Amino acid sequence: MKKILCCGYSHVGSAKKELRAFLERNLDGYELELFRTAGPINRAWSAKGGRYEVDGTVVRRSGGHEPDMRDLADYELVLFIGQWTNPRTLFSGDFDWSQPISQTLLSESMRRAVEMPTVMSRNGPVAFLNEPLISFPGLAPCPTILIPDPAPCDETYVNAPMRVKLAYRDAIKAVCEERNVIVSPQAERTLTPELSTPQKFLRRENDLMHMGDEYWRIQLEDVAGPLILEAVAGSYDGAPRRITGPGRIMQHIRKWNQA
Amino acid sequence: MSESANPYGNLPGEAFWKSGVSETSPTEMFPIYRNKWKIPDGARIVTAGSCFAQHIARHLRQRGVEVVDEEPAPLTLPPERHQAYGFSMYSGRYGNIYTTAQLLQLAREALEGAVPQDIVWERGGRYFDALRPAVEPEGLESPEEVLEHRRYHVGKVREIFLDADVIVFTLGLTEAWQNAEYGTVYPTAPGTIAGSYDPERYVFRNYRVNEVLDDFLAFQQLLTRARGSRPALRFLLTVSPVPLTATAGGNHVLSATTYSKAVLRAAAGELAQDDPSIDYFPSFEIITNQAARGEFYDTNLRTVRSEGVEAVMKVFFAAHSNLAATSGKTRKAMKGKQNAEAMRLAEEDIACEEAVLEAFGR
Repeated sequence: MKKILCCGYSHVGSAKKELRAFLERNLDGYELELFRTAGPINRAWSAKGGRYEVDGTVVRRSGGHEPDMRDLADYELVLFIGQWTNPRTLFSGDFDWSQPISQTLLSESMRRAVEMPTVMSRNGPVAFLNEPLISFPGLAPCPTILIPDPAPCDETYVNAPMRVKLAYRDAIKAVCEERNVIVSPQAERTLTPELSTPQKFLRRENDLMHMGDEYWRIQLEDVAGPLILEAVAGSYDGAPRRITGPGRIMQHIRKWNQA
Repeated sequence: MSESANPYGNLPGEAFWKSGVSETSPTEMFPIYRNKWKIPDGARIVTAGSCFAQHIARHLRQRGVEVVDEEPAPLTLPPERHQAYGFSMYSGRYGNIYTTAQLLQLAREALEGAVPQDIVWERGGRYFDALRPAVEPEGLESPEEVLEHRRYHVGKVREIFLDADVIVFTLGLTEAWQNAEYGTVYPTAPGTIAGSYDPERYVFRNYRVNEVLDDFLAFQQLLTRARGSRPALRFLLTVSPVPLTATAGGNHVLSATTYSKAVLRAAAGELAQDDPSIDYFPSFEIITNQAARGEFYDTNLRTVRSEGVEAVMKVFFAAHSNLAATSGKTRKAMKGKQNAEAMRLAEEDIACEEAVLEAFGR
């Protein structure tokens, strides 16, 4: 039985059912294995300095959700789902993102937001290292795919400047390209013109973060599924893939460039 | 009071050099500061001035004291990078304000709509705000972008000045560069961080006591007028103990430093003597105290060491003992903590744009 390692936390939980169904339909002899590499407990562990021990292709965590280890050489694919790529974290401080911001500051801030996200706690900001996304791809001898967090749908994000949303997306792209991680951009059917996710896809009322089965089915149908199939069954050559979601995403980028 | 044979007979120890200086630890100079008033709990404290003022803001925030920050850094920018973009240094992203002329110019811009001319400087195809050239390390893409950023900043400065309860201002220099045609005053010499030096276009100024006084009084009057019925504003003045990096005045840099500090100290003293809303805090005296034998300065004899800053702040907090953790539970205090962290990391590396001059010195 060949294995796919699925890393992340709550979004893995949301996507799991549709992902398993997709694999059953499209790939024979593959099983999904979950590895909790995100979530608040791992975040707290990382913020306190917790780091994975690395031994060749083996990654070992002594704290966080629970002591755990994986040999990345055992898998045909490492699939990150979410993995702390939520642009909502940008808005947890007092910074006014609608002010004029230099491209230098924007780029530096966004890159940091992907590699070392920061959230505001009661005791002040807490920064934690997105170590799985940063280091696992270089260790794994197999392809790696990231399906980022669903675009938020809360009012703050919806009304945030397009330039900021695109800069965050670009930062994900840059961080991943450097590590040969294939990014699966959000399916355009699940994006509003403001690049947020329509609330109809929410898994539960009052939970503005997690999306339901329909959302994940579409991701797998439109974008992520073909990328997974190509990665495990195709001729993956290790070359970086470009995020080039056609259609409305590109229209928005063009619109913004022209503005 | 008992009678004495001479007018010095009943004076306290601090009135005498021997007991007040020679035999007193330079880290325990508590009698040197008798504050006119206490900074009220919850006061909106604004800081500005030359680079030494950054220490004051940082220590206040470390104590949990709320210091106004109208232009906070993005949470995603690491604290050690705040300074590179002019964040967490003062109450706004105005960078170092070395002279009272520069302070007045900023207030006129923010409160009267004055438009300083020749404020976009270029370097290597990038454009800088000449009035705060160190807040964008790589400059901006166009002069228009500089002006757009400045408009936002000046709007924030307006809020800062209108809403402040206490302004802590550190007088830093008397030397400055000015646009010969428009009178625009700059914090740095043209050609250092950006721009280029044209002796026909830029003139050197070394302000005198009366000019420092006039500019500060004009600043104070302007704020009073603009604030209307808002509560009276208080000022806490200090003089930076940091010597000049370089002088363009033709004198030896030591003489130039002595002149500059003497002028600023005299002006601060005049202001504090005449106006009950203005107090003077002697950070300059604490650092330059002969009893410290220069120990408060780093090996370059210019940078103030953390021990010196501690000695200064000990005196400050002894006098303003009520200030500790005034509003620790508020959201704004959390912002203060964020900035305190940034300040802690920057402790050994307080930036002075002025120090850029060293790169051009011999």
